[in-house]
Amino acid sequence: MSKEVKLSITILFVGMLVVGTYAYKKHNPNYIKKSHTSANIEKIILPQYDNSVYANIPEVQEYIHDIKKLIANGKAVLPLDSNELDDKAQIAQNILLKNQEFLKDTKQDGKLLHNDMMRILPAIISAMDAKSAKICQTHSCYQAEKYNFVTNTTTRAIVDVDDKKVLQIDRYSNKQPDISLRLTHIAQAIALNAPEVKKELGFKPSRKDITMANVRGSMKESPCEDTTHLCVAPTFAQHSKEQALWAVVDLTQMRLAAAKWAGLGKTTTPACIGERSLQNRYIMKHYCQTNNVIDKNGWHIVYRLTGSDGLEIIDVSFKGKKVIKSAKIVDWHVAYKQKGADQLDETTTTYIEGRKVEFIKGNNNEFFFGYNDAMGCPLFSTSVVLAFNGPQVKPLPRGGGFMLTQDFRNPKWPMACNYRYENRFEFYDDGSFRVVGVNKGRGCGDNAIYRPVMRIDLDLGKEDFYSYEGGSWDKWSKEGIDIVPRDAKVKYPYKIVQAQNDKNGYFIEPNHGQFGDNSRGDNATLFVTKFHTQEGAKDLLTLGSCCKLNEDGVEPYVNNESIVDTNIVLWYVPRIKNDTRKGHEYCWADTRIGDDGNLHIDVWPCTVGPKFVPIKKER
Amino acid sequence: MKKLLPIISLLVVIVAGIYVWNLDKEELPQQSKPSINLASFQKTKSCVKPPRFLKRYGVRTAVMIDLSQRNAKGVSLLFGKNFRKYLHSKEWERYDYFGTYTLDRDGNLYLVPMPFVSIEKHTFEYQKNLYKIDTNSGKLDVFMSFEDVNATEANPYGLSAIAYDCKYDRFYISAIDESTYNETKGVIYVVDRKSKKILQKLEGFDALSLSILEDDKKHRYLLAGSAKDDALYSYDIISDGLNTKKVKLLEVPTATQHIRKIRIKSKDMIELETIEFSYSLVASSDEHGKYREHYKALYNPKTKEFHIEKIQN
Repeated sequence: MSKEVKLSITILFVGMLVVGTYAYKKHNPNYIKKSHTSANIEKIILPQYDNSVYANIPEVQEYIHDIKKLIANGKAVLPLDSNELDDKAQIAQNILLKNQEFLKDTKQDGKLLHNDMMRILPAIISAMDAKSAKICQTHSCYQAEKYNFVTNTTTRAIVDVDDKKVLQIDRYSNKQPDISLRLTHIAQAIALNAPEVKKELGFKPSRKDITMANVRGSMKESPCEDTTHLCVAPTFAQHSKEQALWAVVDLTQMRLAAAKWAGLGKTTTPACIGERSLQNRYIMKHYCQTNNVIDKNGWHIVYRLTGSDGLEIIDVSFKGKKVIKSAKIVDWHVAYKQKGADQLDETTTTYIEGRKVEFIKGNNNEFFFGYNDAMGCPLFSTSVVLAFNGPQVKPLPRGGGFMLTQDFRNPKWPMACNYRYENRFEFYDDGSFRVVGVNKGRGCGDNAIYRPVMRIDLDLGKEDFYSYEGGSWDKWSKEGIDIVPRDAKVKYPYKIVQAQNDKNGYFIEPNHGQFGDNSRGDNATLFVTKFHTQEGAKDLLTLGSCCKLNEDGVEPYVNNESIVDTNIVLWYVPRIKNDTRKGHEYCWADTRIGDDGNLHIDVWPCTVGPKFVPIKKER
Repeated sequence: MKKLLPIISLLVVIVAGIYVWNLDKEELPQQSKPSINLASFQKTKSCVKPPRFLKRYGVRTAVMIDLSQRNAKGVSLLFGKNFRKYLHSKEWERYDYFGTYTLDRDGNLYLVPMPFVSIEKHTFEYQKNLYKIDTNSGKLDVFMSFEDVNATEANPYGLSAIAYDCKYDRFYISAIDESTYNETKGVIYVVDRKSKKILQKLEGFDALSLSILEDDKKHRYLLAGSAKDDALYSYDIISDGLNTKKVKLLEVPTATQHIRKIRIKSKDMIELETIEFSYSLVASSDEHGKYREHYKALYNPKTKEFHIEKIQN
């Protein structure tokens, strides 16, 4: 074979190999998908840091100072700086700030509400009615937009600058305008100072790293978790990787609401899907689809979010010793007491905020109404009170351990008939632990009775249960119910122990308010049952009646079975009455207009739940 | 001549390379994305009739089927001026709540179940049935049960949408119970109305809404709004059932919205109603339509593209 032929064959072989490989890569759908994946990777970041970080940003401080000063001086609308206005716009602003009609929505119950003038520009024809349009054909007209942060309303005015007259005022409730240059700078400052953003980017970003060709346009339309808030989304682009970090900034609360790495597709950019959707996806992916593990201070804890039983901890051990098989709050029963049972119409179904309301007649012409609230994952679930953000690990306020906690909320909390619950598990350095339910209101009013149903399955092998009666421990032979002592005369009225070794187990310490959380006690009922898979080992649908106060829903599981040397399940059901009296609030939340003209939420939580103290430690 | 061989080989490789490069540019998009073949279309007259029992109650004007639960549980029929009057039977409450419906050529009303916010013991069991209100008697009963449909607390939905095909006298019924956050395992059943026989079971798509469209070339399509994304898809209707290949027709502008209602309104115009849907019960509590959005989808038969316009509520 000649040299030329050999060379030709080599060229043909190598060339066809290269062309063939290229063709395969380009035409194989799997390869295509893979090769574009890097740009489409989604990573959602929810804020983990204290919001006080943002209060220290100079731009934010200055802005809040200006608003407070404005409100203190009896004014409600923060004007635009002169650098955002031309001479005629300045005149228009001066006219509007004295116009009673324009300022009509700036007061509520005598309190001034925070408003910002957002922009003042030469008027465009589409914003004008026929009368204004006619005048503005020959006169110089400007349009101004003001935003009310409390009512989430935009007011637009058309001003005839030549005649110094307001021609037209339109109000748009639940509509948000393009933001001012000052707020743009504040949004940038919040994004630049957010610890989450710095961590994600891997460096301290500066303004030049923010990609906003058209600042107002690209920062609009990024809904917060609360769609009544004004949110924008400064973006940090990484062109080489075809991705960007979107920082969703809530300008109503002056904080980072969420951040997300995304490609540029519609379904991935926060500008199209908003904080709530980001949270939902993040929670589903990280806590509803997978188990998570904490190894801390000798504790090993596996945890997850359930479809309707809130936050569940499973397979918990302390210093290698098994402690808990499963613990969770399966339900919150919510009941309200009212007079007028004789006039109760039971023929039609009643709903409050989407929930079906149950009515139970009581004595003395009283009746109870309410519902059962299931907490859980935001998607693919039957829950009505949904997980917000993910579970968080925090130190205990009084030291000596840490807590794992999860916030559940109705999206419209703290509006009436909307609820916020916290599922919390406290782990102490001495091997004790506490199962805690926190209610943060607001509910439908006073006379509310809340009952969280706690299911606790310890992992001691075969177990026995005792109650302290008349100075000695009384072993329970059958499933049973007990009213937990209302006073603290006996510190540990119950214990659960390993059947073969009664030194290995836990005392149960009910909460009488001794745990330093302003609790008014558990007033609980305890149910002790034999373990059955179908009795709550998996997700439970709502359990029993919300409003039959002589039943807690667990009663059907108590059917006289032996609980000697067996796997025992404890059901602990505290009973809390809310209090709305001024100065005595409990299980309650309220909103008020603050000295900055903005809406603030006051929360008075009620905290319940028993502590489990290892027997060995006590002796 | 031998000396030219390497050059000829090189030229062959270059030509092959250019050919593949052009394939990449021109043919790949067609291979990866099924194209829209839809011709111009009109609003066509349907064969369906109103229930006969309405006459017994003196209702001779148009009725509106109300599943909103505002007037009564289950279903009520609105009629009269501005649809202010309503007809309701206590018996129509026995299977709880319904999400959507269709009528047939005889005036029978078929209802697809829906879990409402509060779950009862029987809620999941009800989600596997298609219900019928008889055109003559007005009685509500189970028309047929789909025993493989199994709603659970992890996905409380069962049957989710229905469309009636006048031409073949059959239903297209979707179920989404098998789907999870990670997997799309919905089914579209093709069911013969008279025999109640399942003619086809098309798997792998979660349809939240179904509707039939016939274009000017007499091609017929089943339009399906997805429960998993914000798009409208189409399947070719054939005599045996459905062609298994689906084509994406359009996406609505908001990624979190899902198409719940599809109406062919006029020439080359489809009206879409969308909701936020997350396989949970929260969206159902939208009693006042706050989270619903409406869009006009205007079709250009020349470019084979839809232009979407939001209709202000």
